[in-house]
Amino acid sequence: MANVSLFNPAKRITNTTKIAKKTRSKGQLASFLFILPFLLGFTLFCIIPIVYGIIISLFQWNLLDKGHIFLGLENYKQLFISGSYVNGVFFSTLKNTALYAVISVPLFTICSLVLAILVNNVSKRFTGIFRAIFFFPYVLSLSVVGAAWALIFNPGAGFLNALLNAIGIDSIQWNATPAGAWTMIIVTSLWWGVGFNMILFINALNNVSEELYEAANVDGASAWFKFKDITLPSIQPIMLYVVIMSTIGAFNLYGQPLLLTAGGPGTSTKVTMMSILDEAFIRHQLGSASAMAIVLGGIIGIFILLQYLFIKRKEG
Amino acid sequence: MSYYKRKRFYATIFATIIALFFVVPAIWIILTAFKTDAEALRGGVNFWPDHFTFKNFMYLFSSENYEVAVFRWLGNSLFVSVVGTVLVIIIDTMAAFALARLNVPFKKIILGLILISMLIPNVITLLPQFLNFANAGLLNTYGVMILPVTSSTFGVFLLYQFLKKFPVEIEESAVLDGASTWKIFLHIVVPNSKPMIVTLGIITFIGLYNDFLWPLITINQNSMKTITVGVANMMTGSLSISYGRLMALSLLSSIPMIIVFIISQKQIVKSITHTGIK
Repeated sequence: MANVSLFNPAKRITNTTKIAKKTRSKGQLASFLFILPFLLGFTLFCIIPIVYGIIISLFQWNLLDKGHIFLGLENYKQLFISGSYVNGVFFSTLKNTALYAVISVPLFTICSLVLAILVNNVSKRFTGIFRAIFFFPYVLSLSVVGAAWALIFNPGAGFLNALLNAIGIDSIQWNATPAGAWTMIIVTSLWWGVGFNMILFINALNNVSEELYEAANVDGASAWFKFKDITLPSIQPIMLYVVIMSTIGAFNLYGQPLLLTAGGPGTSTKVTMMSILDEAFIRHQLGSASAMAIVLGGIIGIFILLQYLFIKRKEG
Repeated sequence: MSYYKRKRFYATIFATIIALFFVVPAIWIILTAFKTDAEALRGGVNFWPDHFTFKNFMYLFSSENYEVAVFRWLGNSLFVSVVGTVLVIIIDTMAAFALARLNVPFKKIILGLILISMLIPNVITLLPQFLNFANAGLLNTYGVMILPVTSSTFGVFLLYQFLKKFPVEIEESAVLDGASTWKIFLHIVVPNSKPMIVTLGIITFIGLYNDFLWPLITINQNSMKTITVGVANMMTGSLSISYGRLMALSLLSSIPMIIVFIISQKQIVKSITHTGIK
């Protein structure tokens, strides 16, 4: 809340006091009533679950049994003992998730930036149309996006193999190899989400100072120079934001592999969220599932913290 | 052609090629919805249906099929999204007003908790939240789909920051005129926060309508499913997918969002830039 400084602090205090005085005449109760509904929801559906989740992770907690056995940190220990069942499941799927992050984050960031630049450079009267076309998949649901791309990638009936055949390439069994399965997931995710980041980039690009470009034009700078030395540094904060947000999104990956590959072939596209939900709803082990969720949450939390610190820094 | 005109011309050509990647899948969904299964599975570049059939839609609409309740699902989705969005707007605007302007007890602690909670990813609350609702016997209800969104801090934070930057003078003079806190909130704060309230509404509505994981694990009763869950279940549930029906259902499920998109595309774009740059 560094931005409070935009306001004259002394003035703010007197203003707040005046309104506060007014409300105090009716007691603090009136002002408390304004925040009560939120506090209720926040406590019931945020704070209590967080605490409850930590507690569950300390137990052997079968979803179908009533009796729970206190284990202390055993669930976490098991998670990190190499060779244990949960260790194998958790880290193999975490590796898959990390692989997706390493490929998708740079790819999505670059693609959305390229689209943003493209939209800004097409004939002016088409700007709105192209922006809408690149952006609309964002408002579709994951189910619909998954269904559409499952059909397109379908080895026999799919449009993609039909296209490949038309140019003389044999059909590809997309979900038969890890590379093919990841291609499905990545292309689908790209189609769905790239427009969102593109909007952020378009906004950032439009905020780059015109004067810098004009000065560079006077100096006869090349387009590449202008991009490298003016555009990139100016949009760097948004780029960092997009990178961090995409990383958080990558670690939350679930629906695309569920709908497109079911984690296959084998377990090559099985992601951490899937292993957590399997542990909870197929093996009914809520305790170890919660421990896994908290460890994954910790990893995602690091990126959220980075993003938070970076927003703070930008606000000064 | 001048350099700039040429540059724009080539950019437009390039953008048109890329646009195919975005448009073709959408057209494919729409056209497949009007194909027979035999044709949908035939393979090859058969874009246009040989003869348009409405059988897929008739199947979905038919009262004799117990698997799909398309209108009920659409109704559930719209009900959950609308009620959830209205609830979030009311709750968050009031809370943000109280935190930014009123003398709320333990204000510092509340603000601190809100900030900390924003660092905690959803995966941590997912299972305990499920267990709480299961224990309360609220699985397969509208409550389980709507209530958790009331704990979202995004809107409180967005509006709090907006109100903190917003000059207090108008409210101050209203206080001097003897306006009640409630009147100030309703007649000054709410109208002036409209852009942020619209942003919050749009983001919440899209989020709720398209919510995937939460309704997927909390709803299994057919009559309570949202359309998103319905589509996902149709995809993963049966051994042989009828792509015609699946695409027809997908198309129907997207109609509300397509309408929202067409009406308020500019507003959605603006909202996204609000969320990005706080």
